[in-house]
Amino acid sequence: MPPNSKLSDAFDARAYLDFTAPLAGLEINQDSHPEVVKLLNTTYAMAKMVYSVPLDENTIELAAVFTPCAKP
Amino acid sequence: MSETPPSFRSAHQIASDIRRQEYTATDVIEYFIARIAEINPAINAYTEITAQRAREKAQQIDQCIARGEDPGPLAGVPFAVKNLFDIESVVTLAGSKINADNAPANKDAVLIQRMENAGAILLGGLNMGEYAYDFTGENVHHGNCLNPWDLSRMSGGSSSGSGSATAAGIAPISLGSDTNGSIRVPASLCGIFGLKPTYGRLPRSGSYPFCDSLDHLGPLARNTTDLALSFDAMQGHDADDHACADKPRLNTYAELSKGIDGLRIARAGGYFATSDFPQAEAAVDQVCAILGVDRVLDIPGAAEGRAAAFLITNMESSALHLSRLQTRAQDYDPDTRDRFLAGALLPAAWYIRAQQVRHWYQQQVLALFDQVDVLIAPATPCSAPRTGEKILHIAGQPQPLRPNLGYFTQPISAIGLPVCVVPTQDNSTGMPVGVQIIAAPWREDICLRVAAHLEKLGLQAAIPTGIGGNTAR
Repeated sequence: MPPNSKLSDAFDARAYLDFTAPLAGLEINQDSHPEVVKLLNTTYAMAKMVYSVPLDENTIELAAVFTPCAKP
Repeated sequence: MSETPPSFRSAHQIASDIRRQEYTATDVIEYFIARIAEINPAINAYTEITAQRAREKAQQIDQCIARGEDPGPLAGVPFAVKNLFDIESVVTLAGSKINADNAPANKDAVLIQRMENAGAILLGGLNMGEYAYDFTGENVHHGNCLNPWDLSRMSGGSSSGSGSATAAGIAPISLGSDTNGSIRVPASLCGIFGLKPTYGRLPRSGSYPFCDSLDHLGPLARNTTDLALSFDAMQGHDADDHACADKPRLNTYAELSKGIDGLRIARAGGYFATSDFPQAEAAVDQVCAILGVDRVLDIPGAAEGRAAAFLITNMESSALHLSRLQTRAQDYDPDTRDRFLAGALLPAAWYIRAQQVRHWYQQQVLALFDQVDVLIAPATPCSAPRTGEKILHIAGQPQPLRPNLGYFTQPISAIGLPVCVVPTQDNSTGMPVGVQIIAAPWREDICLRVAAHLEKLGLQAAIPTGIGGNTAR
């Protein structure tokens, strides 16, 4: 069994934003820049939480449509 | 007429009176059109009033009754919809400035069609948070929607107009959408009942999307009978929504009076503990006391499930908006835009992991329903904050208010469970605070039974105090 995926502890939201925004065709103006950096840090914290869940790293089953329950 | 002011008469009473010809549907519609003109300027709940259409539909209902035909269980009942529902010949704003440039819808959303097939009459479109990415009811394009209990406070969102209009007695039933709590938060802050059905129960066809994996539609009302009647009228498969399940229809109205005998009910603990939130704690205490519930059940994985919903929402909605972010970023509300901008840049692996964790969390919670039928949890951490407030304290730490008004709702919709919000009143402020009644998938009937039992024992939608003498109309 492979080890659980992890996120790096080093996330530089400002550098990440400045690198990825042009790739996505997005202009980030001066008003938005600090807010988007803050939001990227929040989403990173959420991603860390998601990656803390131990999953079977040998499967990837994504239903085309989420179904709330297998039971009737 | 009963002693209740006419605006606050229940939808089912209005339908019954119209069927008995105590008054006509036309009388009712003229009454509500006049009341909207009087009340709406204070709360800004409606963005579109479809008066001519409503008058024509009312005439049809009256003619139907005159012929001795039954116009349906919601005969002549006025209702309104969040402005992300398509209304024929009206532009579907979805709370935005950008969508105002779109062509008008060429037909009604499926749920509007189904409400009208049951005899209800559409009064118009309702204010909402921009593109549904909001829990506050604040909107820079169309004006803030205010809380009829206190006009200095938020209505909650993103179905802000739905919560505010139904609480203020200018829409006996309203329809909203709920991706992470957008029916339940305004229901809680405005002191009414709201039903977020199971994911996939009601078709979303003809509504503007926010996050396909998590979007739900549902009704808000002033009592459980009206919720049940409208929910029953709207059920049924629709092939135009790929997430809509082909399930047998429930008759929740027939189940309402069954009470809670035989139901195993527990208070949600762990993530849902309320010690940091005195108003939420008092609300849940009150509901549990009425129900005689002292069992507490931890909800494993709720924090991780919420984190998954947060990422899924952020990334799917940003993908939907990418072209507009590239060309018209300045036309968004800055608060919404910046969230979309961040979401547009996140790695795909995070999204896939979030979907996997959602599934993992679902398995944890479904196992709980072997032990319990109903879970009780707060709907919001507090009663309605003042408009413009930005901070909510969680565990003593300041956190942004906007996303965290959905702190307790987001982990529930993350896995599509049905929830009914019931209103309580906070003794310290007099403001309403809601409580979530949560059941296993496809058991809206159980949520509504428990809510009806609580209503019978005193938890009712009170008449709001913030619109003053206008309530006597």
